[in-house]
Amino acid sequence: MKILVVDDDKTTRKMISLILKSKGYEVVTAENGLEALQKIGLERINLILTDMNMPYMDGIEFIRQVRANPEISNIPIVMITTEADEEEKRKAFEAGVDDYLVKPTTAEQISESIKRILRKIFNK
Amino acid sequence: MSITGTSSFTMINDEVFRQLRDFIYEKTGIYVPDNKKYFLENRLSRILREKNLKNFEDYLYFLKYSANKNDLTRLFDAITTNETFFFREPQQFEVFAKNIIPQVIKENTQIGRKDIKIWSAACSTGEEPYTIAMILHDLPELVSFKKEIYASDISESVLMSAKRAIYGTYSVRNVPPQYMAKYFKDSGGMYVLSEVIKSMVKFLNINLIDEREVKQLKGIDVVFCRNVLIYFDDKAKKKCVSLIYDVIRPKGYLFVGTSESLHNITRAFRPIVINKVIVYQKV
Amino acid sequence: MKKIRQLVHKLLLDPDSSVRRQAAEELSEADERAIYPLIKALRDENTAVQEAATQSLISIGSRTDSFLIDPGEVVTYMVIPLLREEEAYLRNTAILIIKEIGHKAPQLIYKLLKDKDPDIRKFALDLIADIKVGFDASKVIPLLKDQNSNVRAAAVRVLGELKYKEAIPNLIEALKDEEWVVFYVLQSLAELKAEEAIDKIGELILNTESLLIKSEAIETLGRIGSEKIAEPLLKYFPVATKDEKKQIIKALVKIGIIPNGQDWKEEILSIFKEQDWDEKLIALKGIKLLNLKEAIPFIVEEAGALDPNCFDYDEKIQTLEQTILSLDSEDELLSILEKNKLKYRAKAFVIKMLGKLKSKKAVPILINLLEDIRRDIRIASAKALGEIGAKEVITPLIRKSKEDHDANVRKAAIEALGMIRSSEAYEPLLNLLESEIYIDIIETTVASLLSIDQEKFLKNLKSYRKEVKQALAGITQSFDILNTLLQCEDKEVKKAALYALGKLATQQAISKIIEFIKSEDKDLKKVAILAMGEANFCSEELFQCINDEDPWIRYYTVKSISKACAPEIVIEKLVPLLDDPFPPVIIATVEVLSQIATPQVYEILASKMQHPNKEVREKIEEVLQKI
Repeated sequence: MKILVVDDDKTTRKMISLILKSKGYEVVTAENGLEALQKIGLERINLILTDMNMPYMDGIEFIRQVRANPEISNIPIVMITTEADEEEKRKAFEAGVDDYLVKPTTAEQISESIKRILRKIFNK
Repeated sequence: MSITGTSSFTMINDEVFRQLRDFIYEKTGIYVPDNKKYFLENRLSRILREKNLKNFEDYLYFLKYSANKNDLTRLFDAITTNETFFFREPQQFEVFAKNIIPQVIKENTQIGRKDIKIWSAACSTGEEPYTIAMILHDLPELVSFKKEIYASDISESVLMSAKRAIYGTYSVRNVPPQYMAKYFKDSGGMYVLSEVIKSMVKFLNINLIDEREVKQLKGIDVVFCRNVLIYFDDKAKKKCVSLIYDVIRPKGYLFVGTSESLHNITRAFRPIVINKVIVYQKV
Repeated sequence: MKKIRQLVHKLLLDPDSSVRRQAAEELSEADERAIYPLIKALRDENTAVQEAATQSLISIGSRTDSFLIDPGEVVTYMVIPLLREEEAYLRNTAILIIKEIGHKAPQLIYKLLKDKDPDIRKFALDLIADIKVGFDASKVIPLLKDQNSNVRAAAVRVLGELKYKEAIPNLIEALKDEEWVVFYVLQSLAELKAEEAIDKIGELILNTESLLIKSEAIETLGRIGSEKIAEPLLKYFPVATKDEKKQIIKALVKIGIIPNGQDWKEEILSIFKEQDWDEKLIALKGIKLLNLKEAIPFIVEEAGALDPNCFDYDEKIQTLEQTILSLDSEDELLSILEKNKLKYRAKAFVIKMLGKLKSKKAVPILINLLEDIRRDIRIASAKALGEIGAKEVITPLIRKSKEDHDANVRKAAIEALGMIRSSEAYEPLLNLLESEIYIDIIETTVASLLSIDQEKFLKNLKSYRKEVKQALAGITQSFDILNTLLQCEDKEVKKAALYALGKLATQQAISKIIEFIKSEDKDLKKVAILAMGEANFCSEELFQCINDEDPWIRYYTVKSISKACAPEIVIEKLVPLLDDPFPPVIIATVEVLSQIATPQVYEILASKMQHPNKEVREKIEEVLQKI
């Protein structure tokens, strides 16, 4: 299972990647939405974890792009952001995220979220 | 009496390196980072010898005050010359022929255009534009289309060689057999490109960060600008990509090298990925 | 004036996005009146327009001319409100802009550190960490106690990025924070190479329950990299997991402390096989430390896989070579060459290494490889045979020097024959000179002949072609030979000999050069001047050239005088040239004088600050700053 981690902060990218690798997932990273769109085209991605605030293409715009492209629109997406505001959360769900985590997150929260999503897909 | 070897290698001091680097950057947009001093020495030592110049400082003054266009060309050649070959990164040409061209035909036909315009922006010795020409020439759906292929490079001497269109085995090693048989004549280990293909390409001398020179072109459907941006720093990349943006028609396409990316350069192009090939589309 | 209004109109109202974009681009040249409309244009529906507006705001903010207030400050001030926008894209664009120009308005950004919205405090910290210059890191310390953990983490990052060592005690204290923040603290401690923190990090490794922090802490010790890290790491090693063991090895190799044992060896090899070059470098150190011969095949494979077109190829290949040569590797290399099917670059690498090791055992196989179809293999083999130098290699090398259809192979063979110095090769090499067309091969051949039998070669000096004579001038150090060459008819030969006299710099040589300084022939004169500089000989004849009518002669005279004469003479003779009509002469003079750097020189140069030529002015300004 390959997960794409999108965040402009290299420490966060590293931390989340380490967490995911320790849980046995393969990890691909990108530093903004544009790079992420390329990575999705080049590799088979099963799930996306993305930040909100990033230069060149932010998380919301990125999610809209993914959802608009029928070839990749069903990849589950989790947003992980510092934005705790309810309004931001609403917008993220409107754009099409499956889950929304507020930084700082823990390894447990991330892996719980992933499991939840996978269960949901499996049950369908 | 002792014998020393000939010294064909000249060292460059830091101050002169900085000036020479600024000069190259100003003229070409190519930025030579500090740790690439050796590379510069290596590439330019031969020119010093040819010109009977004693050191890089004299070369710098020579460039600034006495050099003619040929001398500058010679400098650019030394820094940029890159080995290339036909059908380099073939998967890009595959997507170009099977996905992009049909799209362009559709879009152009809709607005009543019966032509297609391609620009190979850093064509070096011609392998790329001629590859494009062969592809376009063989596509049945383009028979009734006017095909304009522009090919440009900063270096006059590589353009001369491109116009000659005679290649060694290295250049043609990737050419599919059907094209090889049809468009090349083997003349004792050298391969001469057929006139049909040669005549399809129009060559221009263009510096990609020179606004006036780039603006000779307009309304281009597809631009190939591969393995050039790697030589530029971010500022020059932005400039170059912005100029390319201006000459591409709305919704037109841009190919960059497979190891290059625009993701932290511009938002003005959107990446689309087709069969693992990234194509940038003007927004 | 009117133009700005028109452009703004187009920017905000034109229906065609390419016109709007064009207007946004052109407004980069405008004054502060363009700022507000450009900020408005950031909301344009077309991303290309947005982007052009972004770039123009950055250019206006970066300007230093013609404004009462610093435009960087104005743009920053006007863009800051966007940080509070709903639209993520606008917030990020604001950050992108301030990142480029915010160093001009640190006060505005400090103010944001006290904002009640934690997101804004974090933005401000991230900006400081990215901009770096112009900011005082101590202002960030209070935020280590912020109630929001994202803010604390961002503050920690600033301290690392700005290399603020004074904060190390605060960072050590912050190791008690929650996992997310501690991860950032470790990055910053590594960034600061904080030796003071080693003990506490060691404790953290032993005591933390977080696997994430444990592994990051080990890596941090490696990045701090002092000898003191060995103790905590060796202490933890027995209970470490496999991945952690690997990390510990990486950290210890860096400081050159590796215990000898089978599991350590295997780990080092597996690190070398990883993709990343930095990892490989670490492993190579370990391979040297433990004299790990098992690594040779992998090093060879790596050498063959490197791309010679890459910028850093030379550096990488040298590192691999040094490692191979530091191991006792002859037999291993021979067996690789005989047994394995190698890519040609890997093969050339092995051949080169056998040459460097002067491997007699390799001779028969290398002689065979002189006939390989790939030229790089033939070149490498010829060179290696030259280094090894056994009797039986001479005949095959002579044949290659004549018959190979590739000039580079011939050159390598000729060079090799010169290294071996066998008289058998003399006649065949001499014959080559008659028809050779490539200059570098002529030079190589002459050098080889001189090295085999100098006397014999020089006896017939006059009868050689001019290219041969030129090549000889470049390599000989004998006055007699150079003098003989000076008598030749050909001017290029003369020039080469004359210049070589400068390098020789004996009294005899200098008298000869002086004869030519007086020459009517401008080319010879120029070379003679250069030769005087090369010889470091200051003379009246040189001074006379200051007034020569040819500007390039004056230019070279300046250079030579500066090399050859004492500072007071340089000042006396060259100051008048500051009024020379030819800019390169002036610039060269300025440069030369600036190296003397006395108060007198300073005054003289300062008096020329108003020179009409822009480049001259710039040069003077530049050197005055340095003095």
